[in-house]
Amino acid sequence: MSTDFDAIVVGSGISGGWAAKELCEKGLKTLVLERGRHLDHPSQEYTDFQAPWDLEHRGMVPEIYDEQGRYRMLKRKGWTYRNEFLHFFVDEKDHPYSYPEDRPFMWTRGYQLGGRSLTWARQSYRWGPKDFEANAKDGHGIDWPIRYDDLAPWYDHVEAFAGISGAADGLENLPDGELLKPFEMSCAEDFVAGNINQSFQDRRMIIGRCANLSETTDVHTDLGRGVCQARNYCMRGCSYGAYFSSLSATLPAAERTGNMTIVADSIVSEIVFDSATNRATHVKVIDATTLEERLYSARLIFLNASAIGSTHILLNSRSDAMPNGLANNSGQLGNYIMDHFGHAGASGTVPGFEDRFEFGRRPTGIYVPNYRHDRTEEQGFYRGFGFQGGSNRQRKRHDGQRPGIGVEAKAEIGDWMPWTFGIGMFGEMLPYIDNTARLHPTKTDKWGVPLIHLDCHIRENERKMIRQAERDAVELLTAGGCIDVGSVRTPDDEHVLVGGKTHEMGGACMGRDPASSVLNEWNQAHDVANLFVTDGACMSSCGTANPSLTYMALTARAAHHAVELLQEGQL
Amino acid sequence: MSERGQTRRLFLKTGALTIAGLSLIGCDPSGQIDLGLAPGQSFGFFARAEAAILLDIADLMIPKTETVGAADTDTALYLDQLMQNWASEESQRAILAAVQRFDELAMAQTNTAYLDLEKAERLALVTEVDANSFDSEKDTERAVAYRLLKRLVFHIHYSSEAANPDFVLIPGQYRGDLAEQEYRALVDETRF
Repeated sequence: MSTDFDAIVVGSGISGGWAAKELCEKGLKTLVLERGRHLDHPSQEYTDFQAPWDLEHRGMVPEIYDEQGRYRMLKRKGWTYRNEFLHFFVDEKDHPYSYPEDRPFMWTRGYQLGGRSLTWARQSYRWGPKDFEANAKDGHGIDWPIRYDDLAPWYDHVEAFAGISGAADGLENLPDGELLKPFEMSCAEDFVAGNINQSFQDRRMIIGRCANLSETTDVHTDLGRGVCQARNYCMRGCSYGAYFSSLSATLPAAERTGNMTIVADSIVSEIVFDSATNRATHVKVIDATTLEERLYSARLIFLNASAIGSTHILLNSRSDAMPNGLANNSGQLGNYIMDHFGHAGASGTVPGFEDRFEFGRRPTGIYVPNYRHDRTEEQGFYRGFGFQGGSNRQRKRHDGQRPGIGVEAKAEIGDWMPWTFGIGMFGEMLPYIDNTARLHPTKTDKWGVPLIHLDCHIRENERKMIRQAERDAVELLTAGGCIDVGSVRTPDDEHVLVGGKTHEMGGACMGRDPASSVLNEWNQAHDVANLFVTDGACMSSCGTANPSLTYMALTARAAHHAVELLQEGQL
Repeated sequence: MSERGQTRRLFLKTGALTIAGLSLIGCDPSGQIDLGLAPGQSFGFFARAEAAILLDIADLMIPKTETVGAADTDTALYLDQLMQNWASEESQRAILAAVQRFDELAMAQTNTAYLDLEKAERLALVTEVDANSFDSEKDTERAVAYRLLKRLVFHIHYSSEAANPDFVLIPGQYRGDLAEQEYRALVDETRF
């Protein structure tokens, strides 16, 4: 196999898949490097056709992992700690990282072809004009070098291909787009949303927009993708290809061009820089199994190893010319690490629909977009938060963790309960320069690569948001017509685990000024012209909406620009 | 059902497991207890007498009524498998102790082996242990062990096919506002 390519894409997750697709479709011979194992699609590792009784250990993760201290963070995450998709997540015991003892960081990863695109929550929202203006407006972080209008056509581009279901809601800061028909709300959601939308001028409850095919176009069926079957087993992998992932969509699209080469089990340790040409020339890889080192070369390198992963590689790419890491002349590499945060929400009962039922397991919920962008004296914090959640109706269950056995206990089980409704906040963390990712000075992994050390915490601005969100959540559900509304909130003195939402962003932020940012308005490194970073690392702020659709749009936009530069002979 | 009111699976061939105030539970009296297993089924973790107690406890916890019980869903057998390929050593010890404790309690209270008690007596014993494990004894090691046993029994049973007659693996669509008969019709259409 040749080791020389037109382009190398490091990582095969959401953004890496897009980079591969766009570059291959533009005719570039492209190498995709994935540190995890190879997977086909549909994969033997998918468990989507297993009923609850077919699941190994009935879905419970073997307890031996507890004894061995494995998957500690994933277990802490809770709902993702399930045996049927555990193999799509990384055990930090095998792939360690570092954080201060009193400020743990939750880094959830998926080391396989397709990365976390197999297990993402698929919520897909455009960021609005206010999201790209926020840093400039309140002075936190680095001003985005682009605005919504720069990205709008690229949102169109990626939505049409990925397949995003949702309604055209006509909201100012949640632009509509190329959407497939929405999934329907339940009767309880329709009722609550209607009441909320009548009660507030600034708050809207809408059906969640998600990357599940509620219907198909030729774009989807040409790749063998089918309509969502409302199983909501997406994290097990989908044999129908009904949700967007690199495996179901972008990599097959790249593959059919004949221009893509995939090499899995290849851990990228660093990118080699040639100071004479001021270009990145090679990608150094360690074979995950044999530990053999290999070099691949290309004229163009796209870094898509995730926010933390890409930052890690850049920090470890030290040379005489750039001793503090590649593309780090600004000294800003590894700064401004962000994540969304939750930690407040509410739930209640929706009365009056006892004779109504739902069928199927819808793969999305409801969404209340951020309505608190503007700081006021009364509000007392910057940015804001949205809510995600939904209603459902279940039969009474018994988990064996309350008193009672026998006929009496069994009689409590099976009857339909009322509709319940729950919402949880998604807050925007400010970009803090001292929320950082650094190389650990002494610890290395089993491949000899220094560990990444993550030191991040929320501040008073976020605490204020959490307190406000609890009040708002109760207010929303009460106005929505719910009864027995209760709330939850993490106490002020309890550490909020950054990374808990799996929306890590920052580390190699975009900006206009090479002195204060790592990437320019095209996701191109200020210091290394043929290096592009288009995953979460590039984000200059984190907004409140799920970021993956924005990664897709930024990647497609950057890839097209990079190809133009190549064609113009500038790279 | 035997005269002693054991589950439909469990049948004591000879009756008495208690000899002069000494339970035979630890002796694993091979051949003395018919567990009522189907061909090919066997317990690998629990000894025969322990398995007999587990079968009985599970059935008392989740008896057959108008819906299936733990005996119908092979809950005890599945728990036995979990002990062999899922449970930690700590959980294995806890579950074993939780099962054996019923015999110890029976001996202590009545000088009779658990399996020799009448059904009403066994039900009373399990009910007592259950209540105490969530109340006066809840912080004790034995209460923790019992609750683990109960959690697993309920999880196994209620994740079984027979206990989920409405489960549809591939709904094909989502509908959020259905009358009960519309809902029922969709379940019936798509269940298999």
